[in-house]
Amino acid sequence: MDKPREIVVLSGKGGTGKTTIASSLAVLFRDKVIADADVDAANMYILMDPYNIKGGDFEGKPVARIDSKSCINCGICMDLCRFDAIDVINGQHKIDQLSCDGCTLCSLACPEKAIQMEPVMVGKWFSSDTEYGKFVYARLDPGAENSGNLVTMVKHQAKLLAESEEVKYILIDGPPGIGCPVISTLSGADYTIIVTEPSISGISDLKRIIKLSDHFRVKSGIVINKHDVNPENTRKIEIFANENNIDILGKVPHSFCIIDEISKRTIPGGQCRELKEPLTEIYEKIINYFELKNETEK
Amino acid sequence: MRAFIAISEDNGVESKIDSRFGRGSYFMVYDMENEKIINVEANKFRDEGHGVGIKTAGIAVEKGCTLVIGAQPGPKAEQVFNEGNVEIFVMTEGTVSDAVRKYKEK
Amino acid sequence: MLLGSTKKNRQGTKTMKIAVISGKGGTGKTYFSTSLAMSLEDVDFFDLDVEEPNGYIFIKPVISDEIQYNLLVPEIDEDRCTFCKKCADACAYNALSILPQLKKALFFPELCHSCGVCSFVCPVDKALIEVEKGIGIIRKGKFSKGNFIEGKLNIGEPSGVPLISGIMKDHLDPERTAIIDSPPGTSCPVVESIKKADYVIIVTEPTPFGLSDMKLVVEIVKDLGKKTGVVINKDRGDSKITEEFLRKSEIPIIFRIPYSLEIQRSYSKGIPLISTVPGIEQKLKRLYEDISNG
Repeated sequence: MDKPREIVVLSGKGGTGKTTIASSLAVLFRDKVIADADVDAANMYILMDPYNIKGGDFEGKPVARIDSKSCINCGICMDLCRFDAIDVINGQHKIDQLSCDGCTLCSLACPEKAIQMEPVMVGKWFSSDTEYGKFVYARLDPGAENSGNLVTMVKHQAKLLAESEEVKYILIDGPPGIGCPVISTLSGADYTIIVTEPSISGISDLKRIIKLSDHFRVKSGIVINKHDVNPENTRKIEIFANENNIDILGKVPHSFCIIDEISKRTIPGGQCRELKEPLTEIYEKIINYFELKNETEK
Repeated sequence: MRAFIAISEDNGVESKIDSRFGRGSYFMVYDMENEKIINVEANKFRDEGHGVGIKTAGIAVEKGCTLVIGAQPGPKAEQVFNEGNVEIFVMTEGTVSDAVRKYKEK
Repeated sequence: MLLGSTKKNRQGTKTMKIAVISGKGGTGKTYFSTSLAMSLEDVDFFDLDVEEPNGYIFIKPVISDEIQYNLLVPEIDEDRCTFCKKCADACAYNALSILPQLKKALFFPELCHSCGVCSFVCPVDKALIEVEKGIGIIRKGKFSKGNFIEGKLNIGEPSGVPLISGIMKDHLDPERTAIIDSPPGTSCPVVESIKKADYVIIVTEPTPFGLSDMKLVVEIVKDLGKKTGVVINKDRGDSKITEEFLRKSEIPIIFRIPYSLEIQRSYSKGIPLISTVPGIEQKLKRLYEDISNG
């Protein structure tokens, strides 16, 4: 069996329609496992309607805790902490866990060894069944910091499933931005679908994502969402793609149908005519890319 | 020459290459001339939040490896390899023996 | 504490600090907050969406000052360093790589959180010192209704939190009204940006996605004990699930922006909401009055 191909959907900034495109593609692709790696705003489950849900807790970076019995309230920790995470409450030094950055300086400096670093649960991951195949997702607690780690966990679970189910593809809804979570998503991926909007900030975000995708030598293609809202910027994106030899996979128009379907918690790909055509085009271009790649590799 | 290979399981030269560099499950140090495994150890950094590739790259350099075979390292791990004059040979699938053969054929 | 902490300005009207947040990007947070600021008099607009500050597109300020914002980061003297690796082992963010065979010390500033652990554990005199390094720029200027203050994080910096808390500490004037455009999401930078607010406005879209994201920020706002109200953007009169959640949570809907293609078009061209929809300026003024009167 060949290694399953990882297809990642990214966007640079949030709110460009990444999840809509990813879930609609999940309907078209047969033979795949679906993963939602956008753990901060994990929304895909809303449309995927998962059942048989199993999962586990996710441990975050350890944060400091002061053992009040051994603490002599000398205040050394408070003087050293650069995150303002130590307060004195009723004469006792205490760690504000929301502010603690987990740097360990206080625990190293404490003369009484009264400060320990303790892991905190920051989220959960799940694996499930859906009408469209196996689905892995995760959820980060509000206020917790995302790291590449939870993303890696989601991808790892998706991969185990893909191997046991012997599927060809893993389709991943990626996190926004260009930080560590995105790096973890891109690492080991085979194709990046970049969903962008023709807004002023859309183009600069697009360039940053492509740079990162290129670093990981992952083939990328662009989907322009709501292309008709600003034809001028859409043209700019097309010129940029052309100059840099990046495929435009498809252009999706602004559509009330898409919003209506999402409001009904259904995946818009099957219902909205204006989405169906570009989606099929996107799907076929990606499938063709992999078929050609399989040929040349043989 | 010693090669550093991130693998997803510990199964000798038939071990599969891990598709992630820094967060690979095990590290193998492999003697390319004599074609034998020097050692294999579990990756104790794989669950850390950030900068895992840097730690992994540091270990490779520390173990005297001048070649890395496996997934594309991230931008920062690559910087560590550049400093250490370590060659990177990207290969994301197959086994250790496949990788060694491909490297020698190149 | 909340409304009690508001001060009165010279004209005797109350001055409020209002933070505008959203669960995720793309809900219209900046579009709303800029027009709210532009509808008021004598107001400071803070763009704390430091990774992607784009309030200026709508506000169109004249910038007069650019101040670099610095943090402390390590600098290793390779002649003094013994390559003992204590600093790299202690660093919780893996920002240092010490290669003893090569006598090299590598530092990755993008991963550094400026905590100071490395200099604390370094056993050698002056081998590792801390130096100032810019992590972003604070831009100050004026727009038609008051002052404009923006933080812009350098690309690749790990966290906007220090820049946000620095701006709030140095530039928030207790005597003046402030509209704060917060970063998107639900993580630490958002918490930092609303700590000093008297009132938090949540901008959401009436979709199941919007609702799921909003539930997360509602938790944060409640944890911090802030007063809050919701703005529904792209409202098409069928926002039932969002409305039901808000009713149960006893959070008022304080404003609605209708869904129209015209608004989307003018948004994509950088034209503010108050210049697109007639009469909306008066409504925003009234909204501010209502919020400041509790």
